[in-house]
Amino acid sequence: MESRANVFEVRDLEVGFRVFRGHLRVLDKANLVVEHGEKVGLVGETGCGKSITMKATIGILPIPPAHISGGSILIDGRDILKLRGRALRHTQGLLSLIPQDPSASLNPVFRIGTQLADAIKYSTANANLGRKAIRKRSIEILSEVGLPDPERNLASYPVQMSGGMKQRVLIAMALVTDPLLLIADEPTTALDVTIEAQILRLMREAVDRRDVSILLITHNLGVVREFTDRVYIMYAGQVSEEGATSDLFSTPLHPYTQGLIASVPKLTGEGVASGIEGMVPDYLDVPPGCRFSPRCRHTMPVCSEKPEMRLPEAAHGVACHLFSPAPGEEKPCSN
Amino acid sequence: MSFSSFLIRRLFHSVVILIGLSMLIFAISRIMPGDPARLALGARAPEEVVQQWREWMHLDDPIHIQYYYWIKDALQGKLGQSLWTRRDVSIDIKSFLPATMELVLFSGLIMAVFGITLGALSARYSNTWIDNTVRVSTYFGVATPAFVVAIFLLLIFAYALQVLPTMGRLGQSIAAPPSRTGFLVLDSILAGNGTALADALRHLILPSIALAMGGLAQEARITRSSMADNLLKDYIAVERSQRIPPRVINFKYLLKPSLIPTVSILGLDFAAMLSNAFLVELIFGWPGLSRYGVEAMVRKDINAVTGVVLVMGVIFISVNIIVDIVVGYLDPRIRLRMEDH
Amino acid sequence: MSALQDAPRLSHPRLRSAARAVRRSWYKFSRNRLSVVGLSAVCIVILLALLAPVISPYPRHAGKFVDFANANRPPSWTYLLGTDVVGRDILSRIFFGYRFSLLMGIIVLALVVPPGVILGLIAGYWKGSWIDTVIMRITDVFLAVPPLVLALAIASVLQPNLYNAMLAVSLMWWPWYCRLVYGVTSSVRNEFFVQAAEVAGASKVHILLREILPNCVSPILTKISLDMGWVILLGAALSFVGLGVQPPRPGLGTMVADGAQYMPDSWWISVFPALAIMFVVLGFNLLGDGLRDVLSVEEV
Repeated sequence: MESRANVFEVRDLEVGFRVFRGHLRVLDKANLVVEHGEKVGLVGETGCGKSITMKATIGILPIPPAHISGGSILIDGRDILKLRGRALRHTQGLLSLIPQDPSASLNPVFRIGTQLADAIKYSTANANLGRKAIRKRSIEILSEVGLPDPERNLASYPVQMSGGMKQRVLIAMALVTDPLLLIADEPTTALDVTIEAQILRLMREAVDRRDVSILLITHNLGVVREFTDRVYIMYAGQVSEEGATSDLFSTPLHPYTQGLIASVPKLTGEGVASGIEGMVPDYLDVPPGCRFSPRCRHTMPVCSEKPEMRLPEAAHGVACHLFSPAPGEEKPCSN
Repeated sequence: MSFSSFLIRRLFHSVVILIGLSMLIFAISRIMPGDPARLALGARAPEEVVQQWREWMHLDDPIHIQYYYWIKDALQGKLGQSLWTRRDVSIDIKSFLPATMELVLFSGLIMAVFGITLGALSARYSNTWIDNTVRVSTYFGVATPAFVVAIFLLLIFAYALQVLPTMGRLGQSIAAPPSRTGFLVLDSILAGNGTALADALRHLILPSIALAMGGLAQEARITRSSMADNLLKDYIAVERSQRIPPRVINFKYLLKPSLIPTVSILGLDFAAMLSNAFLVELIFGWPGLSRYGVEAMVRKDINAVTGVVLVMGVIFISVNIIVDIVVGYLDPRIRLRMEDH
Repeated sequence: MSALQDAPRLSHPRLRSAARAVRRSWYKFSRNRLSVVGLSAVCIVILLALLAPVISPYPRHAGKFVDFANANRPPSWTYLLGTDVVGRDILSRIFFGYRFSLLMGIIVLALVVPPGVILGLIAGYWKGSWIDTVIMRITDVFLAVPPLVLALAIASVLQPNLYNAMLAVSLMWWPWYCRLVYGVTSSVRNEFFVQAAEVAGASKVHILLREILPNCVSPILTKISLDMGWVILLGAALSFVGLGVQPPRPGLGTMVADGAQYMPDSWWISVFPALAIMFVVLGFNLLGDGLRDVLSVEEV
């Protein structure tokens, strides 16, 4: 057990939205951890709260109507929910975002060079670099992400580049600040499959080379399986299962995870992929306790209480009453 | 596709339009009922003189010949003679144009600066009292025609409060500075004449505000909605995640893309301003081109009317070219893509 | 149950769904308070115009009438908005003035919309060909002159009266509809349903009118309601200069012009007609904005 703080930690985070019709309770005491050098995945359907976790961390959550009602978000051991001003900016600067849609994530009326230079200039790692040094750094980082002819690309506008090229630029912008943690928000969803493979490879190489951690947010199980060391499965604002990727895929414990894996059509052609019955809950009127219980085949009366995260196997946690100890057994420890 | 080829295409486009415009104006001027020769020479002129005059003016030639002569003269700056002032129309226009241009440029400045600023403030403080006040005012600003604004302004400031003058460009008692540009403001500055400058500005304020009001309201609305829309865009969120300071984001990364629709509309608003200048000049007794034009129209002075419309068209087309160039500079997507129309 | 069955129902299924669509649109429209204000203002103006002879306190003042004894009276209980320089009641004249304004708007738009739409359809459908270039260049030429200037120029070569003013405004207004429809047509032109119709051998007329035109209806309607305001404004401007509604008829712009020389003493002669213009233009603007919000959601 390292004495260093974890690179990134979310503890009991609760996020809600105040809307006209009422109050949406989205994140319900979510917990996750990213340790030094790890590649962690955060998986869930659209609307499960993974983007909200990311936005709350980066600080781009629109605070009214959203509000963080509890919990903490720790970057390198410091709780950013308690920080303000320069300390907050400095700490948030320790991580970088790789956004989802490369075409929408670059300002269309400024050159790549300008935007990259500003990303460099305002990062804590590169403070006080002169213009020439910034330009040199820009060219270096563009080469590192595999863009041919960096000088020309610096002078180009986003409209002149392909989707894959733009995503490389965004990865460059994320890497150039020497972050502790990369948060990649569905980085390949908007790209073609062939480009997706290239970008994933690029990200993996960069992460390995620089010894930086990465939190990969996605709904694509295939990407998770290939890329990550550990993975968290999220459903309707609750973390339902967590563990090493290989463990999770070989022995999925939570009914939701089992349903997800079964939903992916197999190339070997055995049988038809099944879906999961029912629908994602309406956050206005969320079921008490385990939010998956309305759709679960194994639902029991006790499921109306929120299940705790337990570890039936080493380093493989699940929040499901199927794994709760019978009354009288000793309490399990959580991670 | 580079900037210069974009420019060249635009200019060519404008020349074509100019030619078409000249044909249109020519057509209008020739459909007027009545005999232009008679009108020019009066009812008592003898028949041979009238006939001579008709030949001299090519009035009996086929229409395209007439057009040819007209264009040839126009390009040399000869726009015929005004039936009313009995001077060359080009001289008339030259003497009245600077007054109108000064008014229009001043109004344009007010419109752009205040419009964009108010719109930006409205977006920055959206849903507060600032925003709501601006939005309600713009509704009224857009709906009120310039001549109505002019009348109200006159009522309040010139008559009720008596703080600003009512007519003309310069008070009776002030000596005008030597006319170098024709723009009283510039001429006063050049001559170092502070009293004249102050007085000229006092006379400029009310008519400019009246003219600028409609466009100002439009610009404010467009700026506001464009900034509010762009604030939600992904790239702004990404820039914030890159820890770029909010000041830089607002004044650089948000402002530039938001200005694109604003500047695009500037051309249309300018056209509206040129039109409204006609009426505002009438109300304020401003000795400008528009007033000359309206008098000419009421008196059916074809040459003058034609001349004025042509000059207005040229001004407007030039402004549009400038606006297109600025928009092309602001938005690289326009000049880097093949545009179809 | 039987009460419902006895109620009259639209038997044609298309009418029924159209009625449903109207009800839904009205619901959306009524949520925006400003749009409802606009609609109310427009309805008030229409009512005033239609009922002018009945509700005016002094209907005869709208025509040739003089009463110098009561000239230049400020607003009072006898003459709610005052009288003008020859003793005519301003309020009544405003009611009748709205008739001219609305007439102008309706006639101009009726003259302008059909040719503009047709030319726009043609130019957009044959986009890229010489037809397109010619039509669009012609519209560019008309649009190259500031609106009022062109209208004034045209009106000035003709006899000054309301009908010629309408003609003048129409001649410079049609390009806007042409451009609007051109834009929609050229973007819709390559959609699958158009290509399907072409392959099936439908006549060009059918394609233009039955396939493409319905897509243009929403923006056209929005523009019409916004334009009513502008046309009325333009008409007032023309009348102000003396080229529109001729005295002694009560055009709103004419009334403002009449009163301009008596400012500021008899301010009511200009101010109330000016406010009347503002009222109707504001109403149409708000209505048009509301329509745009309602109609545009239906489109992609």
